[in-house]
Amino acid sequence: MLNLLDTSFDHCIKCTVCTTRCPVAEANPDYPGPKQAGPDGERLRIKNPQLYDEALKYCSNCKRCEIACPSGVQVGTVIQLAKAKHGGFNKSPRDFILSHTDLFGALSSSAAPLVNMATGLKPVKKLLDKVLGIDERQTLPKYAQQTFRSWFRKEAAGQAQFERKIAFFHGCFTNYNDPTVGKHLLAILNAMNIGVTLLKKERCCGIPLMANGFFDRARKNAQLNLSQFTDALNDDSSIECIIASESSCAMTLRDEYPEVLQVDNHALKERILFASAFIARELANGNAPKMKPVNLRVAYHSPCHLIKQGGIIHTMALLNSIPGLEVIMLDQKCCGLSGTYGFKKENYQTSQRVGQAIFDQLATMTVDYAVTDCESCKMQIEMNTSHKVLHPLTLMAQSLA
Amino acid sequence: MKYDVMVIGGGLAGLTCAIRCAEAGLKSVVISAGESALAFASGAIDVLGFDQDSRPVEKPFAHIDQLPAEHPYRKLGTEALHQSLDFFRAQMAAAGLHMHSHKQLNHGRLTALGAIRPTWLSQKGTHALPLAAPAEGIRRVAVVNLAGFRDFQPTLLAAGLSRQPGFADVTFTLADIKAETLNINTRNPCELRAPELARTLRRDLFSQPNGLHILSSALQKAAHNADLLVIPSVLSEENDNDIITQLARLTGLNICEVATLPPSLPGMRIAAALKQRFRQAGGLFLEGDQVIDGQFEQDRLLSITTQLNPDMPLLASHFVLATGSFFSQGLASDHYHLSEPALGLTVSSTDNREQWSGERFLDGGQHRFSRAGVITDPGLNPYRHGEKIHNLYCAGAVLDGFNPVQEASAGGVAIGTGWFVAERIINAMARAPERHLQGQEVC
Amino acid sequence: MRQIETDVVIIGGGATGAGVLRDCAQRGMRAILVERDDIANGTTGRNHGLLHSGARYAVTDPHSAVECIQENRILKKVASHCIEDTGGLFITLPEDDLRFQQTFVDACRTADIETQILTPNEALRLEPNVNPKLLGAVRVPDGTVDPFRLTASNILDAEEYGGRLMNYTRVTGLIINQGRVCGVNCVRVRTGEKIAIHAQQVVNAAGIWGQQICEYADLSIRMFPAKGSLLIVDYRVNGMVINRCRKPADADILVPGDTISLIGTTSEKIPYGDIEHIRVTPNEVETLLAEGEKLCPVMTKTRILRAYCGVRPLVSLDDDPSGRNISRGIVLVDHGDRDGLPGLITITGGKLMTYRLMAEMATDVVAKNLGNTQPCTTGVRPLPGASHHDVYAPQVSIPVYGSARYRHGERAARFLADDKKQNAVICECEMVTRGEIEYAVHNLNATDLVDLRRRTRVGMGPCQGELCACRAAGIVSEITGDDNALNSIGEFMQERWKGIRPVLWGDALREADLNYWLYNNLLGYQQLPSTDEAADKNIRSLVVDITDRETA
Repeated sequence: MLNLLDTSFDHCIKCTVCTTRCPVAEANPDYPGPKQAGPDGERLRIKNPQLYDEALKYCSNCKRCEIACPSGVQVGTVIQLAKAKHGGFNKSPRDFILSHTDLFGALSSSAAPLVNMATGLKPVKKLLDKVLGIDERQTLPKYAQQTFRSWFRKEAAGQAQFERKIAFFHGCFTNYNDPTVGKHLLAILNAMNIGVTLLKKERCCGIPLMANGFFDRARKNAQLNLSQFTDALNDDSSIECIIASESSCAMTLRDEYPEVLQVDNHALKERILFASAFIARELANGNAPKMKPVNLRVAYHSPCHLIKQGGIIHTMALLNSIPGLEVIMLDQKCCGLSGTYGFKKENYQTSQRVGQAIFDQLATMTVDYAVTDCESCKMQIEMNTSHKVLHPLTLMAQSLA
Repeated sequence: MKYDVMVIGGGLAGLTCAIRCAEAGLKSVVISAGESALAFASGAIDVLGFDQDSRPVEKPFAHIDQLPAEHPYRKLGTEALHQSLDFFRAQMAAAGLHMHSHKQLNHGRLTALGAIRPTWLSQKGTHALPLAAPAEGIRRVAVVNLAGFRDFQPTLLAAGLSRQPGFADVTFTLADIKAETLNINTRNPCELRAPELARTLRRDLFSQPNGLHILSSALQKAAHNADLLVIPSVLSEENDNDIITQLARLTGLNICEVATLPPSLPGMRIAAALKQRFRQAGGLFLEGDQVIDGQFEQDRLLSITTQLNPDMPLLASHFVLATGSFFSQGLASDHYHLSEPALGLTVSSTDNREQWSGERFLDGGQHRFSRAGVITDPGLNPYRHGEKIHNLYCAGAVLDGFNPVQEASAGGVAIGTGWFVAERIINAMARAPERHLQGQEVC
Repeated sequence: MRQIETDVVIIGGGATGAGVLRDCAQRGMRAILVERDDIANGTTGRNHGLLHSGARYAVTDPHSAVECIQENRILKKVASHCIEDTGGLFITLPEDDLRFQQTFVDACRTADIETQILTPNEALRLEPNVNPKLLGAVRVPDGTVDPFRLTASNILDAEEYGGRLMNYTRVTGLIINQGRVCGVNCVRVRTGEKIAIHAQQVVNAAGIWGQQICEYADLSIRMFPAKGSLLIVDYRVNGMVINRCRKPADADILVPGDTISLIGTTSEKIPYGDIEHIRVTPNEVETLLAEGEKLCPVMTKTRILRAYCGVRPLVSLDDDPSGRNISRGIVLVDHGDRDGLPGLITITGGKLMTYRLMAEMATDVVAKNLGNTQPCTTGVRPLPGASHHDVYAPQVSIPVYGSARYRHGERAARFLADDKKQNAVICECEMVTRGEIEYAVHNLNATDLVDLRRRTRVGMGPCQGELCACRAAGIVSEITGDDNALNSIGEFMQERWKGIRPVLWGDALREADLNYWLYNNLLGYQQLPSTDEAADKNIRSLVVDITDRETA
């Protein structure tokens, strides 16, 4: 019963600050809020596991509570682990489909044109809504006909010439849905005299699996990924680090692996970097690519998981280095999609309410693009505003001279 | 990544300093480990409410020179303190949050337990009670709660206020406006916290064309023509708190909003306004990160490392430590020692734990822990291993030498020291611009 | 002076006194319990809360062990809502003698206490937080008991049988007429009103203060107070009671209880005159932490919530002033037999968990003296809350429902209403609703915050009153309509402070810093003028319910 995995709730001094930041509690009156679901509830669950509250299912794991906590309580993690421990996941067929992105990404990508057409059709969406519980109002992501890995095969030889290299953890979205960002990262790094390799094998970082209760699968993925990282770094001394271009992947690889899955990555952690952190460091050391002015005005949305990692400062450094780019920071609020969360029928309305403030703010702005480094945020913003969303790496790639 | 100024701590002191620096054109960043004490503050700014013998003070500025030498106010001087408060008021006004002082004297802030605490600046909606005769012109008081809000207790407020001089013969009426009247539709309205209630009202009541009228009618009915209507501060998260102005107009009543148990809405308004001003001045605000170490070289701080970026030290020309007191983790303790955990600065302390506190919790003499903090020189530079650090400054509750609770001086010290430190930094940068060091300028 | 007449007066509202009140009432005798403060304020409220299996005494005090296991089984049936049958472990650490284990097991068998020898791995599976260095463990039927609710339940039951509690009533003297004790003189502590209660039997169940009661009759019962200190840990670090398998010594029991764990006890003889001024010393804190760590290493990384101390009522069996002949067992004295002063009985000594037996013994004497022949049923009839009826409460969340049910058993149905206001959670750490607070005030004799804490756990969680003190005081104030609620906030916070000061470091210091800021800065508590008069204020508690909406 005991031998707890996260005892940070012990530091909670009941200041209530987390309750003021939770976007889900604000949008959904059925959610008791992070304080009760997290540190308060944990003491009760320890006393009696039957005191688990079903309402914990509403937590989207945006981590805003953790960011605001002055006591170092990992509120989101406490809630996630409680869900894992006390049967808080349904693990329905829908949840399986939404979360097993390696499997369904591979399947869908192989039949991309068909899948993309089908998932855009109203009747199909209605069917998915009725049968699986995937809300029909939610735009479903498109799949790329050629995966990033497949595209990279042509590039691999050319990358070998670089003295300095990094290993790119592309993640599911870049591989199956939209390889653009991966291609842009490659262009940027090459322009900085750094080559890109891929890991021999990689699996989904695991965040959708954890969000839907498939912890064993997530742990297996974690162990495989880490062993791949180790191999890459050991086998080739020119590979300096592992880079992820997606905010939630980076957070998962660095923080969630040890905190939630108890998979030890401490030997590698300082060499697993979010893309803009790596680039910011390079820029600070004087290694900047030649860039020409882009003459754009953009609004930057801070992904929750990037704030949590302390990565906003790096993305800001990256964006500020691009000549002719005017960056306006949007208010730091959650977009609401939270990975697989907003696709689910029972969460759709909450998800929309949560993101409304961002949608409203963007509606008042005249900018060329919205910019964010989270694919989930990108989907949500594009679905709910008239703005197209670019990744910071795309902007930087555009400015390469 | 090198900044001109790095402020550690995003509370009242840290942001006052950071805004001033940013507006002076310095590249500024604030790193904050979490929400600050403003979330539990009254939203009023106390300059000096009580002297060192715990007697109430009418004219705070006149007392500054009588404070002990190590008091932060003595390091600023009265003139700087005045200017800092003017600066703060102007900043808040620019953010739409108007703060009032009362004829060059402290005025009384009514608390949720019916106490009257001397303060200097109050927000719109808090009725300032004159300290000398607080009950003047008041024969009837109505204390009205909304929707059974659990963090406001009218019976306690009335009991407390009726003990105050002049209020013994005042008639009190207590009331609660039911949730249904206010159109509130939520799981359990009584469990809403102040900001949640404000949001709920905005969504369910004020969004209706006659929403404001519904509330004003209900208040009028409850108030029974009282001379003073006291309500909890739950109506609006907006800086300008326009709702209260409209309600006062519609009801014709003197309305007094009272800050509640945390989260306190008026305090949160100030926090939001400060962050807004800082961003507007071009500053970068990084939340959820904590400074774990500093890299010193003799009498200078070169860079700091944070929990989330332990491998990428952040460089700055000047650093400000405004990390707050124990509950904000600006100061730390173990069984035997009090310490400053981020940079290891010298703290006023005794190793005898029994001396950190007094026997009486609320009604005794001071607790040493409330007074303890980082020792600084008159320029607010701290010490580390006996060495004074010249490009590091301290501001706010982390400082030694004052008791914010006993003196009612928390806001004034935070604003005053934050402003003062900014001035020193701005002057230092003007004298020796380090911004254009080769290869260091990046972002 | 007010005169009251009854059959039996019981002095002392601890578990024993409450048990006597219940037993007398159930046997049809009229009885009044007089307590100078609130119930369970003495030793009853300051111990481990351990429901002994008796194993701890099996080797050194077999008689006590047998008493314990018998009462253990009875209480698990009749007081099930105050008890958690957690089981206990007696562990052998590397520095202990593993051979003692067999001695221990044999002695338990003799006392009819069921035991099970476990390997270290088996013990760790049952109790993951036990010291992994243990060499062996024996499982016993230990449990935990909440002494406050146990006492409150006894009184509630007694009241339902016609018994009466007069709390905040201090005995000032015995009424002695023609060589007989026939009542007590007392004073209402809060109002100063003097009352004389006439009764044929007076039962002195005043624990360590019993010596003073006897002195009113110029009798002597010599008490040798032994102070014991304990620490409370923020959350429940162990699921089973953990003891050391060796001869009983200091600070070697780690007891889980509700949402916390506690480690105790130290032991120090103190002069009788000091019993009102005891405090936990830094040395005791260090000892408790050190010993606790041996039982459960994670304990020292956990926040310590508070420290408290109590006094064991050790009684001398004779008048030897050196106290060498101290009884740790139950002491029952009919002063008619021993001292030629009939009408007065003293029942003292013993342990919390033998309270019912002690009460039965005392009530047997009382009944004999009054010619009452009803049998004792306290070991058979369940206390209110201990019946296993289900409570239907769909309007509240599981944590709320579970906590209410845990504390009050089937009686939770009385306050888990269909009303949102009643179901609003007031104490968030322990999930106490407004309804439960009102129930405690109306039905369980709670008059202020400190009383409330004992019956509902308000203020016993990590926040130590930060959020709940004002909320609960407001509710009490609304119900009782008096001004005392404001004062009780300060009293309550001071009472919490006494326990926090000895462990004021780390998160405890942070919490205290926050509370000090909130109460004196935000709420200005210290600025409130004090008042002693039950104020005659112009407070119109016309709670005007604004239900109709007037449109513009």
